[in-house]
Amino acid sequence: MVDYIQIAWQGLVSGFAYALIGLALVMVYKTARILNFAAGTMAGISGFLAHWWAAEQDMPFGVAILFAMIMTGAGTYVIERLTVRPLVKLGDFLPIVIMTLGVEEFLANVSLLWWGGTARRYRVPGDIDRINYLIGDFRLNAWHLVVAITTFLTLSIVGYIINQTELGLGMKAFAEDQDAAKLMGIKESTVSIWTWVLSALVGGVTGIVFAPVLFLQQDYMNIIFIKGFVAAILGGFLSLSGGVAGGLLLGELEAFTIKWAPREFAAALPVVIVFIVLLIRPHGLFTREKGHERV
Amino acid sequence: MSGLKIKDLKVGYGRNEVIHGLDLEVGPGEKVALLGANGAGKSTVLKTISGLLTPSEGVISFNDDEIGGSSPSALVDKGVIQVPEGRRVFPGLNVEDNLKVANYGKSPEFLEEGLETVYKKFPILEERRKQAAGLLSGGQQQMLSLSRAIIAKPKLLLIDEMSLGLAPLLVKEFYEQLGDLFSEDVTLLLVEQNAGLALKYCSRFYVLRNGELVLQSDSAEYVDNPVALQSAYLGVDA
Repeated sequence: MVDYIQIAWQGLVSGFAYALIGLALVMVYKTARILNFAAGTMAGISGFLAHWWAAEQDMPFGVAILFAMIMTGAGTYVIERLTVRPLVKLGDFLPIVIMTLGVEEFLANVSLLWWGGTARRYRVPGDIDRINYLIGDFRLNAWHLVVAITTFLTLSIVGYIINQTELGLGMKAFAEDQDAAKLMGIKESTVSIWTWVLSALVGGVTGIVFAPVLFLQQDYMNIIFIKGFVAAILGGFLSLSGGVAGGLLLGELEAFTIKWAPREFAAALPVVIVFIVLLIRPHGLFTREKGHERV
Repeated sequence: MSGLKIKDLKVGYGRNEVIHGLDLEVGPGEKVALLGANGAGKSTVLKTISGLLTPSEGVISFNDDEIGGSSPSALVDKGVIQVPEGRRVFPGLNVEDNLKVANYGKSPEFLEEGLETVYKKFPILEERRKQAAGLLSGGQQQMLSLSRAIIAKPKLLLIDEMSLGLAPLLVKEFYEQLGDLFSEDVTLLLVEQNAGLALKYCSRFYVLRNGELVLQSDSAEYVDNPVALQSAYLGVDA
């Protein structure tokens, strides 16, 4: 029994990463109808910045995180204005998506130049990633607890912004009907840029909090990005909570696959899931098929 | 001189020009209808005034303020408000959030005032304020769409095909209510398929055919015999 709890917990922790990245992807897609292929690499750079500043530049950990988040926000602001905005005016989906791929390549190479290709393991304050609590036979890693709390806080803050602030209302209106939202006086470029920044901050938190779990390597967030993408597809790509639920589900499926099937199969699992989901429920597991409009 | 003035407007989608040089005026507080068959370019004109489309040539001014090519949000700030064709409520947002969106970027005090007005005029919206707008009936959605315009405090109101997909009796009611919903000095340009109704409400009208103006007149001359407009719609002698 403890065995299963252990696996479920493990799946949940991985699921948090997929859920957060899934959320970041859905947010931008839903509001601006843009797929951001640079999301993983951007998140990786945030993580790298924070841990590198803390471990190699002797910055206090909290300050390093704060700086990394500021850099993430500011950098994303510049990226959106420089690469996405000029293309949005042309009104075509594909060029923007290809542009995000270009941004991804660019950022990946910049970070490769900066940090090199070798994996690093930075220490976190108090070495809490090495502390394990034993509750009966259940082993709880202290850093995993930090991951869980951070995820919970991040989701709460995003939920608050979406449901309680004017920016959130604008995002929702835009997601529902772009032209109608414009006619209500909502500035498209304002909503778009803050959605990008919010999405990148969620990604940044993910990158920072999962770096000690994953080893820091130039492309360490790529695999999380792919699984976050799968999470978004599971959720139908248009539902924020669907993306989060999709991430958690994927984490669990993965953890239990590793327990019962050969490890190699677990690596193929996301692809298999996407295949099945797109075949059976192309609109996602958690969203209803769009019905006919009432007249 | 003020009100809405359009001079030699040309606009289209990509390379397809839809409006080939339109001149149109609506005096301050005047109610004018823009009529024409399907595909004549009526909605295109409204979308251009409200900033969703950018004119390729020509001048649009409102109260002596050049507004052609401004962004929709800048126009909303100037009081240019469009009630879009097909109502376009946000189906997934509840009724109250739909109304909140109409007050976007403005003080919450305006919203409270606006909500009070709107709920007094359409009590059913208050009753259903926590319901998703997509679940409302067509008529209720039109109420919501008009209510958003009320909250936005228009100076120039553009209404696009209020009758679309609604029962004729309901549409008639909406037209009868219009004067009560918006203040007398709101300048109004409305697009309508149902010429009979539009002529009763508006003092003047224009008829558009294939992107060109083919007739303009006082409503009084046609209000008892809208059938006479057929030739203008179709381009043949009736």
